[in-house]
Amino acid sequence: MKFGLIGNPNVGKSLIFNLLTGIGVEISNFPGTTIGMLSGNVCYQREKFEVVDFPGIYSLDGLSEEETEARRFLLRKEADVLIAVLDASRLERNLYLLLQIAEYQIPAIIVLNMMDEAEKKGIFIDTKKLSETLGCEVIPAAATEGKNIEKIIPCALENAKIPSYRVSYDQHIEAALKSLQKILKCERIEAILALEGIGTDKELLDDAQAVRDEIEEQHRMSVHQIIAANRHNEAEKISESVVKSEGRSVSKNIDRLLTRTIPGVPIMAVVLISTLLCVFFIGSFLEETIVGLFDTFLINPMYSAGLSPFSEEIVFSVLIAVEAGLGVAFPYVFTFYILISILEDTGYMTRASFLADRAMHKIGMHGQALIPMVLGFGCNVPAIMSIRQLSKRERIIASFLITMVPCSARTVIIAGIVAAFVGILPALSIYLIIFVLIILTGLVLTKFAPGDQFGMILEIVPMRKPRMKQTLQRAWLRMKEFLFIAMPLLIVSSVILGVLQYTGIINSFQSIFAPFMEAALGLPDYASTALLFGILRKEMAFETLAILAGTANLGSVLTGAQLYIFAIVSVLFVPCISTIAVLYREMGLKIAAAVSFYTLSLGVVAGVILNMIL
Amino acid sequence: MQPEEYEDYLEAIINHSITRINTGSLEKLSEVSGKNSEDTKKDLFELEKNGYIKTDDKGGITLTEEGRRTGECTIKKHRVLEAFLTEMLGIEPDTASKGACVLEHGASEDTINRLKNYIRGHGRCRRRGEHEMFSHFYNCGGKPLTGFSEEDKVVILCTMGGPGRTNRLHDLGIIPGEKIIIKRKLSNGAMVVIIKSCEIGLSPEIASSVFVERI
Repeated sequence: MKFGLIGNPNVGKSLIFNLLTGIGVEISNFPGTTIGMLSGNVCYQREKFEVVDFPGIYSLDGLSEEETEARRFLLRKEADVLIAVLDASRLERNLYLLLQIAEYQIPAIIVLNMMDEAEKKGIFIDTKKLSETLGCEVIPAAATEGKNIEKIIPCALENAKIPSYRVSYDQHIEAALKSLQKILKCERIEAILALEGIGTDKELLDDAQAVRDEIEEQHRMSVHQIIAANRHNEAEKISESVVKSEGRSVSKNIDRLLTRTIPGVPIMAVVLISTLLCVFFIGSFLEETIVGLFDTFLINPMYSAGLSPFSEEIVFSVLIAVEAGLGVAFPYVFTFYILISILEDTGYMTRASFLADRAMHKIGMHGQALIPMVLGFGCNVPAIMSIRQLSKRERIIASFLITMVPCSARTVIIAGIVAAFVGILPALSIYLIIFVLIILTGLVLTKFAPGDQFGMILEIVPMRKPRMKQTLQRAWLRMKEFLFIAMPLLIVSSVILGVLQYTGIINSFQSIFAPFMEAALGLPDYASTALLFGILRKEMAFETLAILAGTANLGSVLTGAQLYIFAIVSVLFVPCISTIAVLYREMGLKIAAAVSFYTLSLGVVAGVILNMIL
Repeated sequence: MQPEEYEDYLEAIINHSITRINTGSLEKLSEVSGKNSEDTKKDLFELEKNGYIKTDDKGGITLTEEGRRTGECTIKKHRVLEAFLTEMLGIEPDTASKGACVLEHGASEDTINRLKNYIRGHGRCRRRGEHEMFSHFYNCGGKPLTGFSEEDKVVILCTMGGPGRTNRLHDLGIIPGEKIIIKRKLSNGAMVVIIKSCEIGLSPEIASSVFVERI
């Protein structure tokens, strides 16, 4: 028996999933963060059942990836019972999706969540009448208080019914559906989808296309619009008959300020910058502690263990990769994710996205891309993973721009090399150069990236008090992506580099590139090795440079200009190997190669230019 | 045996998913042909001789390529004719089905295709994507949403743009006839509107493709 949990974004679906299955999943308060199907198990009366959490969607006939995925899942009838989660405080809008779900003829029950929030707003719902109208069991619930959650599974097992409610569409649509169903012997739902141009049966689609053209000509409206309007009207009718509203307004004053340019934009700047500063201070403190522990308890004992040189090299490579992951990931990335998760849970991020849309638009993206871009400051890997919700065109642009965002590891280079040995202002100027380059890249890409740019249509979610447990779970989920995807890659590539080092291939590489480094960038030969290590792990460039230079006091062996150039090149130069791997997985070889090549050339060109100026 | 009888048999074999010769399946086939089961059995061997089906020693039947094609074609003709008789001529479904059974054998494939086009709505063909250009000749009146200010209450007259943009708008309830309140408007025309008690942020280019009228 498989249950499918389905509903709009921000209806508390993921929280219910969590309460049912008890495993850590993302609670999304930002449209589209639960992409992909999460699945968990629930035990009831000593039997195990699978629960699948659908991505939050507004509709089942949309063109976005989540909607397509959900539709495919339902058409294949992969869930035996659907648990539809509706937000009681926004019943009408939520019924729109439910009316679509009913068309798939799968047994279902309805969980009317957020009854507490609705009551606060003065909204009262006659659940019995709603259940009678839809022909399907309705459970009033409040997931944040855990109210009635325990009734869901027993009800789904015993009382799930195929919803009897059927939207009656415009007469032309109904006639078209009837003849399509008759001529091609298909289900009503297949005919509806075919009319909207969705499906795989070519004959059905061709026939539907012809009817569609006819209807659209008569109505001067797209079929999707007619169908959507019919559904909305019926949703409104149902909602009117079951909802009693006293219309209490609970719009908070602070919320009125957040979406206004002034003071909204300054607030946003303060929030984002203080988040980054917080991450930096907490992160660097934790990093020192963890790296110190590693050196004392693992790396030094390993050296004194007296292994053979080859195995010593391998063990060292593994340890250094683990240290890199835990030393950088844990302190910076986790702190960062906790703070960002708080911002998301409060609903602030949707407001920031709305305000950022104007600026993001100039570099070819929408407000929605703000989250991935900001995540990039923590680590590029989860940032790249979170671009799935964007359109194809935006994904391409975002791939380039995110990999240029200075992640926490690159911050370490800038802080460790430039801020420490050259000065604070030059360090800040590196950020400035990077931001300018990001903007320029965005401006150029808007001209050349394929596809059309659609505008932003973003639901602004209600402000909510963040809950500790949810926030930590969300942060942990992102962290898991980092640990299980980036870390293994780090270890493997670290070992490969270790072997290359051991066999002397690195040395020959160094001798080939040394003259170029010397002439073009004005850097000593060992800097090229350090840069190579930078591909593996950004701040390793800094450590390797220190090791190869034979002193941690880099200021004594290299000039300020050299350090500055080294930092610029290694910050821009090719994203780290984990980012490339994730790019390859998400966007394919072409984009991954293009991004790597672009950043490589950008780094080198910037270095050469600076060498000529300085 | 006449060609129409072949077709009836093949149609029945597909419709009833018959895979073996036994009393049950012979009964169904006899019903179609109106003959007794002995004669029906003979007819089946004739079908095999003509290369429409294959039988084996254990009484199994499979359709040949040719048999399946002929059978499916007949079924398609039947459906189109039945739809025409019920939808266009208003004949009772039962009578229509019987009528279709007779007509399906005489109608050529071309006739059926033409008839199908007729049902589709006189088969007028239009280029793909042409509906996206409605906006040029479809003037719904009203002003773009961007022309209004905060706190204004408006009613939607129409939305414009390709499906990628408008489908999401429709799904969120931004459809003609719906009332919206403008909650926030930035200087560049970006807006937060309240629709169906939800707040939706729209970028300027989206807001300018929604045509509205003050209530």
